[in-house]
Amino acid sequence: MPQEEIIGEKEGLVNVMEAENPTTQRVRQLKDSGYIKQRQSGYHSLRIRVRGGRVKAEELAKLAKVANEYGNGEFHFTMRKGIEIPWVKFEDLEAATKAVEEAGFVLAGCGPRTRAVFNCLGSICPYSAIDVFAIVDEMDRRYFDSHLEQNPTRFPHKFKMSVTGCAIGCAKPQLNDVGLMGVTFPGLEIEKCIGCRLCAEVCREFGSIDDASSAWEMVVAKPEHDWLKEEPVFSPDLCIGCGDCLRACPTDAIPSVRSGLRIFIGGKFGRHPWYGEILADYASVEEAFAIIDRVRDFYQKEGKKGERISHLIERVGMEKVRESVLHGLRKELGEINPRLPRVRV
Amino acid sequence: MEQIAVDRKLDLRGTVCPMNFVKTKLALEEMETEEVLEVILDSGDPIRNVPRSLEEGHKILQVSRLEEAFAVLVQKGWG
Repeated sequence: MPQEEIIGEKEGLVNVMEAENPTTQRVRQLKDSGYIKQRQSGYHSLRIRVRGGRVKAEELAKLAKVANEYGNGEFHFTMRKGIEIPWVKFEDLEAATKAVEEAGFVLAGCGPRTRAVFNCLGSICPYSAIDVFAIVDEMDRRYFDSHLEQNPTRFPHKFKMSVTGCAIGCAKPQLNDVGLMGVTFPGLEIEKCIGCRLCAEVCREFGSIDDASSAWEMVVAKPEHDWLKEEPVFSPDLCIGCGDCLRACPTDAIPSVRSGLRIFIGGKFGRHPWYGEILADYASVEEAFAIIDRVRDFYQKEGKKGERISHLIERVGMEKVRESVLHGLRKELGEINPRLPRVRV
Repeated sequence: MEQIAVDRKLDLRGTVCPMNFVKTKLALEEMETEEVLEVILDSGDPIRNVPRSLEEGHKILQVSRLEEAFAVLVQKGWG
């Protein structure tokens, strides 16, 4: 019994699967399809995909009816922005699934496949540098929906992606197999500057205990900028693309001159967390999709069964991954500022 | 920095976001166009957000650093 419950979570899934009995196999298949076995015998939780974490009130009302009819009237919100309806009896699974589908939803399965892509509120959040909803919806359509087909692409292990609008990273792109982060690069229109020094005050990203430098610094103004006593100067090497200076500048003297996606690869949580490596920086949306396609190909071809991308990187080396994924693309994509924040194990 | 005549002062040290913004807006509403408000804001989130938010409709003339706070001079705009 306990073995049944943990089986889908096992890192070395394949070895266990070979030995599994019909019951454990059934549990795994159910879980792969989005029916999560509860610790209470005979009950499952239905995991429902919510695209982009956004759900219409009337759609939720339809799901509420399903939860009342087949569950215990409760929803559970998952970490990947899905909705679960727990306490569904085994004999009701088919009818409940039909009701979920009639409400306009699909189940979000587990197993070695693309998981629901998740995201922050980046299309309405003031911090975001990108249209998060447009990107996450497209990723979900391209990569999650393909798994709803008859013979979906199988990966060596689960494949998780997230999209976040800014360097704060609410959607944790560093902890997904592929994570996208919106970044923005500041310019300076000095004629609008009033020398207020807010850019230098708010720029804090390298202002840690051991490194107090920030990308904006105030220096004595040049003679030709005679309306200023002090003026800001920018050090690109110290910029992480967070956009704090753009937002703080009260006179619009700091425009965004470039925005794009920072792409993390190989992140995961779980028993052995890994912090993703930065694979590319300031990619366009089109370039990001090309890179994701290549990462998926690479993972499918080179990954061993049961191996997450983090393990694959550890085994073959990040340089090989970079070469395989980025070759032929704009070379600036792979030029990663070595001072960008990262954690190494 | 040039000396700018201040018509009204508002010390918002200790007032958190977004109430500091609300109070500043309300103060500006009571003032005449082109009058200057000096608002004192804490460092951190208040100074990150409030001046920029006031830019819609008003003009930031000057920001100067006090010890743990900032003095922001805002000129009331038309409208």
